[in-house]
Amino acid sequence: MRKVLIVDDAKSNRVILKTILSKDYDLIEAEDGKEALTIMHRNYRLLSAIVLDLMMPVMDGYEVLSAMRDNVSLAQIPVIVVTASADDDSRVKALALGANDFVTKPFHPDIIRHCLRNNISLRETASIMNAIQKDKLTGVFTREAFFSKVSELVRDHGSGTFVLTCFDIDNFKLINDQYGAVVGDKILRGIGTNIKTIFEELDGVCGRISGDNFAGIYPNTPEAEEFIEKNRDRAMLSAARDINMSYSVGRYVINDVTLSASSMYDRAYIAKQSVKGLYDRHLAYFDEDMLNNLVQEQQITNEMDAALKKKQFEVWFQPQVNSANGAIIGAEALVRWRHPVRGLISPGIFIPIFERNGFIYELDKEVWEQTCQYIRKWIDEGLDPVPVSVNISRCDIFREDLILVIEGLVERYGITKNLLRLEITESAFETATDHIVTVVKQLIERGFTIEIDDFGSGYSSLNTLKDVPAHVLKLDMKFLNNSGHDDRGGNIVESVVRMAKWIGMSVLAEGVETQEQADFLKSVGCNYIQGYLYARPMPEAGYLEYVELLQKETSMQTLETIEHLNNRSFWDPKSIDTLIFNSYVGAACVVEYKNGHLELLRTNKKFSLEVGSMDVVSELTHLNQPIRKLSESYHKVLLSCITKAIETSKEETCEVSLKKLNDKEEVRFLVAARTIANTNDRWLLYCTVSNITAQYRINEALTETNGMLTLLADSIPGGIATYEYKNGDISIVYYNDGFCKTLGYTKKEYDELSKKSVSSCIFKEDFHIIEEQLVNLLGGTKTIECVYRIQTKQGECRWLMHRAQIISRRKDAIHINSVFLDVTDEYTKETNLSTGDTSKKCDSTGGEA
Amino acid sequence: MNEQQRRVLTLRDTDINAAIYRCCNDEKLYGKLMRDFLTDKTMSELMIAVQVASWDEAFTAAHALKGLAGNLGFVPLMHSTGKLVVTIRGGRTLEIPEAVTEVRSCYRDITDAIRQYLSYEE
Repeated sequence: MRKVLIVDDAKSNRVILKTILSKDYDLIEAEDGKEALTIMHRNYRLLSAIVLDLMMPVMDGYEVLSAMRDNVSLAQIPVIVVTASADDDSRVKALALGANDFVTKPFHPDIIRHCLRNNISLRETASIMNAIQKDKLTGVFTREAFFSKVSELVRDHGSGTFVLTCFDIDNFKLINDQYGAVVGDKILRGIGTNIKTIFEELDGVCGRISGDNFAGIYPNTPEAEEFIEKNRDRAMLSAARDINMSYSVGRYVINDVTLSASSMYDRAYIAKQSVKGLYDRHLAYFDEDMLNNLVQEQQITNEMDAALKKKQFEVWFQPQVNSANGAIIGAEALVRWRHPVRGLISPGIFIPIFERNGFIYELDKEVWEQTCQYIRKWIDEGLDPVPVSVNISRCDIFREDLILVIEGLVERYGITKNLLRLEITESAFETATDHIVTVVKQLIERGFTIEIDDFGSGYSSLNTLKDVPAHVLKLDMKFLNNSGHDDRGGNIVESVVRMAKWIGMSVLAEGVETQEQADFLKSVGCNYIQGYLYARPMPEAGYLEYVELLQKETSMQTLETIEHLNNRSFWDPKSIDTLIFNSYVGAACVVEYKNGHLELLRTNKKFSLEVGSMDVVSELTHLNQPIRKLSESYHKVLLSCITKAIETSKEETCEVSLKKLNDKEEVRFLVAARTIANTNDRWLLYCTVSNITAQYRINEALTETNGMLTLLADSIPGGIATYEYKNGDISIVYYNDGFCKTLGYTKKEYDELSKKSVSSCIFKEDFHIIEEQLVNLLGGTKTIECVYRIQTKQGECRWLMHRAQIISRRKDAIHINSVFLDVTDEYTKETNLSTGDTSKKCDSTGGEA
Repeated sequence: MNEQQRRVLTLRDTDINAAIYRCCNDEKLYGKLMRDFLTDKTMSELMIAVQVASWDEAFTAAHALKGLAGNLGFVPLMHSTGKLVVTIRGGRTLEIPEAVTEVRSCYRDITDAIRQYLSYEE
């Protein structure tokens, strides 16, 4: 039995109502509004209707109506107002507050019964309708009800007056998988509640079409548009505060009212699908091109299987050329669809469709097989083919039999693996990188050459270079085109080329169309080029004619490294090589040398400490301004050392001085350089750097002291000389100007003479004098002194007084310091005094000289 | 309901048939409701409200009394309280005493009649 609540403060009235209604209803009573609301809150699901008196103490009927209107659940319950007043004001007021019907006192039992029955029936019918029209989960219209409402609105208002929008959560299935269906449902419920409020505010309606697909219709006015834009993020995203999600929106301005609501929705849906997966766009308006594309996609999908069977897909070849010498280094196999009706269809049209529907694997396999067939044919014809690159699509990598298929093909056609290169587009590495890297490694282990395709055309990642052990990097020229010919774009390209090379990858630029681009690429060390500048893709016959004219280069030039250098590991920040470089060697750096140009590529911590400060290092490494703090002369010294190291392939050293930043003091370094790798005209050198400033200062001081001493020695009269006695031989190691002068020579002349013999000027007869004295000196005499004759350069005989003493006595040699004085005048006087003493005459045999 | 009882109510213009019909022809219930009416406080609330010139409360009480009287078939009382409701709602305070006097008179008549009615119970 349906439950009815009677609310009247007068007991008699309640009794009468109970008497009238008790046969048909299960009745609950309340004496005032407050009690009534309490009962309603407890029983709102069970109450079929309320009979409400208007005039009551505590809380009157109007207040009860008002409170019920503010509560969604209570607002659903039909209310029959009873009052003794027959005036229109109270009726209007009560009806305005949501009363469903009105009966006056005194009661007429039949009126009250019918009134109650009709209202309950109406509400129940509405509930049933609601259950059909409203989506149980979200509370918005169901698909059918929404389309019905759209039809009504469009019929009543005409073309261009409404916008149909549809939206869904990106990757909602993932949210369901990750957080569970309960959370997923909660999000959908939240969205339903939010969008219902928004569309009702705009006098529009909304519905849930399926899953997480919602749709709404609202007036095509700037105000409505603004309101939607202002609130849509909140409506969609506040439903899941802790979950990072995005959504896509498609809109169709209804300008063809002859379409069914479902077709209108389809148009909004197509617009929405056009932004799916885009990073920077989440909203699109429908235009006719979208529909045409869809129709075209459907046509292509319908025909693709038959086209494959009928061999409508052809493989064309685009040559790859070494711009340095014009030789052909390979070709890329590209697919074309020769459609019997539409003619040649560009891959730009059908490849994206095949990528979406998964047919790409079938097509790729066809291309791989045709390519292998061609290579086999060329070998059989004795043509000595260059390698051909084939594309591997992202979807292919997830096929378990990929490696088996490719290996099977090269085996079946008996071609070597180096002739079939494999191109994997860079965007493939954006997701599921681990898996793709694993597959790439397996292919490399099996001997295939891997190329990273389209690098620079999308959101290129340096991680791709780091993680993927590919052989060739195919640089997309779109990167340069997009950034213009500014320094920035050029610098980045140069850096990418360099980075790729130093980790052992060859770089090939594709999409090169102008000589200007080719010249630039050449200037940054990228000689391998593919593009319209050299050749367009062409069928086999044209390709063979093209190849015939060119010299062939079957292997791409790659990095040459010193033995045991693992170049990838060398650049890997986590490798043992890096650990050693950073922690276990002294100050070291890696520099690149190219055409007299030096650039620092890498330094370790000790280098930073030794060289001074990071500021200095940053100055040093400033792009295109390398080694700035070196003076021109030291720069030359360093360059000379580096070029010598390149020539000899051995370690070469040099000393350079560097001024610290904000510091006038010069620091002296000993640089030892050795080549570790080379590619084309670029060389990579490993340099160790030692701070030898202290030693340098000592040496400088010594040199200065020596200079002063020499000056002093040269300025005194008489000669000074230092001899070395070693293994029974005596040689002269130092003599001053005075010594040479005494003998009648210049210092340069005596240099030549002394090489022949130390004793070349001494009279033979007087040899014994110096020999005896030398024996005495070596025997322990502290100082010896003797006089003997010498013959000067001019043939003149002179008497020399020679005084000598040992200045150092080492194990292997003894150094003797000698002072000479020309005593000829004194001796001549003595001879004049005693002419009989022939020993003091100077007329005997001259010296050896 | 015996003849004496019917006569005493009819004398006061009570719509006995409608009232009994409202009670689903349960005369006993009607008799009980009349007895309850004697102890109902609505009339005394109305009088207090009028004396202290609390017109909102007077209006509510008059309205309630009108409904009660209507349901029990006390036609003169229903009309007089109806008049009072209209007078109070219209803010015609000068006319209220006269309307109240009429309500009081009708109330006295019907309560006398109910007491007589009850005295004729078998």
